[in-house]
Amino acid sequence: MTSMTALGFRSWRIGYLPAIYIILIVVIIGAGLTSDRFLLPSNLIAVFQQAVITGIVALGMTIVLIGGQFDLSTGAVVMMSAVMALLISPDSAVAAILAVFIPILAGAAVGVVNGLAVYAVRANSIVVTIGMQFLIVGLVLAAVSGQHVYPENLAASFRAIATTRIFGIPMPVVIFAALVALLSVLMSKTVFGRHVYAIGGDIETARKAGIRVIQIGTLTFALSGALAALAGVIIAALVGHVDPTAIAKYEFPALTAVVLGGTSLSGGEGRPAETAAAILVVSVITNLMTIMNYQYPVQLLVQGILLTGAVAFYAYRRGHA
Amino acid sequence: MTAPIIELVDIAKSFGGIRALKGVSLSIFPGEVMALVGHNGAGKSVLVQIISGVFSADKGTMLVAGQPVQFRNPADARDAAIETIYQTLALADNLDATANFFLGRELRKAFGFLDTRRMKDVAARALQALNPEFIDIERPVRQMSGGQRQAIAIARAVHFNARCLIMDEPTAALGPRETAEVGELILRLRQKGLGILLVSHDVRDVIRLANRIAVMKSGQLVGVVDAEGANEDSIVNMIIRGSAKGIRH
Repeated sequence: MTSMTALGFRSWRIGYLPAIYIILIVVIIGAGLTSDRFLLPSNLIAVFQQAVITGIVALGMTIVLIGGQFDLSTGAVVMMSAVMALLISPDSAVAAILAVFIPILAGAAVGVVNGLAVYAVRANSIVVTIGMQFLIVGLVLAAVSGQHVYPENLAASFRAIATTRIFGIPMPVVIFAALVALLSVLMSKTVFGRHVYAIGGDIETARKAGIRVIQIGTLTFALSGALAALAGVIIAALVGHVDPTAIAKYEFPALTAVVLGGTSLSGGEGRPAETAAAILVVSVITNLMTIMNYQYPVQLLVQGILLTGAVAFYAYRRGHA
Repeated sequence: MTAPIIELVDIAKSFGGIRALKGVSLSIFPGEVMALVGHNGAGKSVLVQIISGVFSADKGTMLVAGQPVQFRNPADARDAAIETIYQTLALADNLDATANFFLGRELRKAFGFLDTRRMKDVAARALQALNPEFIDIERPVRQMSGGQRQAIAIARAVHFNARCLIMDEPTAALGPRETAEVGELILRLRQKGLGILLVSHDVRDVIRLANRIAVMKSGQLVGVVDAEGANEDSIVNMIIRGSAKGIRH
């Protein structure tokens, strides 16, 4: 069944609930029935923790994609900020603060460059952000000579970003939940959010309506860059060291979640909370496959099926809307 | 005589080597519908986009209420109470009527939050004043009829105190009934004292709706004639031949 949202766009819903939430519930029940271990509190927390890094990247990507553009530089930004945070070598509380904020500012700066190239110069966002990805990876590898970054002393205050628990819930999960809430409000209740939807719906119409397309559009990329950088900082705090050649590619798992959550690849539609639900769906499936001893190639295969299946499904829905 | 709302003096515009406008002068008065007709490529759209602030003229002067103006963007034109209703209606199809009504001019509460309730009330009142049958304003505009979409664009312009309305092919995509509705609307707006620049291909329509008809060809103004007493053949003749010879001005 399809109904309308307050913003006016269609999303696939069952009754009043977006379908992705129903899918999440079904997947959780299915996983619980399949494996006794799945519903253990420690495993459920692991599911959330698994989702957090990709989830934070996916939230930023959602905002950019609602604006009608792609940000494929995020994986490289995650790696850059993790390396930067550890190179700052946060061995004191002050250094720890710098190790959080400098990478986030650097990530936002990368986003500003991407955004200006896309919205002011009107370059293709896929090409711009893939180019940026190469540039960042090259610069970071050159900066650390391709070596593992392994600081000897990390301040407890820095590690606390990843290790603190609030009512038993790990800090990164709390940060992720807070970001989902914050971005949901930003996109649905503020002028900024409304303008991003308008730009993604029809950029020329937005321009003619007097919306500051370059500023707003660039800000979406800056947000995406800052969020990817935050994800990198959390990795640095969690692991305490980074091998820049081995850091995972986050952009495609994130994109899978964004698309699975119903964000339109052509812009103007999507919601951060539905991306978050989708990332949990992916995380539950991945977790279940790990419990059931399916190897990484099978997990990749399932991820590929989810991405292409979701794209095909939503394309079909929109074609028949 | 009342002063013109908009006065264009010798406006020229080129794109690369192509001279899209070659010294066009035109005035639009309050309570007047000035029609602008001509073939594709005659320069109508470029002229409209200069008046609405999308392009800047290379040469010439534009006066609004007697004051020279230079628009850097569409927002400048709107600040001067010139509202444009584009052929595409400049509506974001993914948003609902209220969001489109206030697009770019949202009512805000503190910290950039949308005043959603007030916007909905104002938009509903404005749309229903124009068309009492306009009730369901929460659908995405892509699901609305051409007439309803047109009504949103017009209601938006009128609500924001337009003194001059530029309508670019307002009935091009409409059926006969909706075309008649929009025609009625134009006449009502004219009575309210708005100046209207009506760009159209439909010569019969402009004779019915306009006070004066400006004909363009190849970036030049061929002539301006009174709609009263004009006939289709004479206007079509001007459009094709690019000459106003023998036409009553």
